[in-house]
Amino acid sequence: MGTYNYERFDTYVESGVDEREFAAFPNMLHAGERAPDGELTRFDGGSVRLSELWRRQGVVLEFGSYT
Amino acid sequence: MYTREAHPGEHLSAHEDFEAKLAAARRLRDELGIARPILVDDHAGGVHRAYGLMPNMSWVLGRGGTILYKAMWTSAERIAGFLARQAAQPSGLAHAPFFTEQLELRRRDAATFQQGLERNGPRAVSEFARAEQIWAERARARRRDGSE
Repeated sequence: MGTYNYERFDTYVESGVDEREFAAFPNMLHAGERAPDGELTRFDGGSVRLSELWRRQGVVLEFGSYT
Repeated sequence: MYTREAHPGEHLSAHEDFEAKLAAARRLRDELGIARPILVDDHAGGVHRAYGLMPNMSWVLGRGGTILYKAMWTSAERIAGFLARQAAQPSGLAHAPFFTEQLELRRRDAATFQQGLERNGPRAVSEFARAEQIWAERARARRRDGSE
């Protein structure tokens, strides 16, 4: 399954990956810079690129999961 | 945008493949009543990685894709305030954008977070408790080393 989709949260934390990810975040991608583009899937099975969304109007993007 | 599952458990484990991830995102919408549009990242987290892998970060992107707001954690209150300032700001040559950076406080709703873990099963609860022990051990070690 790889390290991205970790199965155990405690093992993920124990590995130190969480610390590295949190430490890296403030030093990457800043206001004023161009946002990364990418393709995402809609529930109807279609896909949309972020650049298609921000071409028409601004975008508020929240990342999250069930827990 | 739906990412990897932050706290896998008996009720919802790590996504085996993209179809499982899409099904989990539908459960998020249906069981938690999320009314906002949800878009699903690929199984390897391509977009999530590109934006920094935080579990509940938020961004405001201007028309054309310029980053206007970046936050490690989501605060609806902060975003609303930012959008209100954006809407009210004047335009014209007398004003120019400038870069700012702040460290802000967010309310830690431990009870709601715990309910979320419990909703996903005992394993999600126990693994988070173990993670808290690890974080506490690290903090003690840093204090011993004099780095904090």
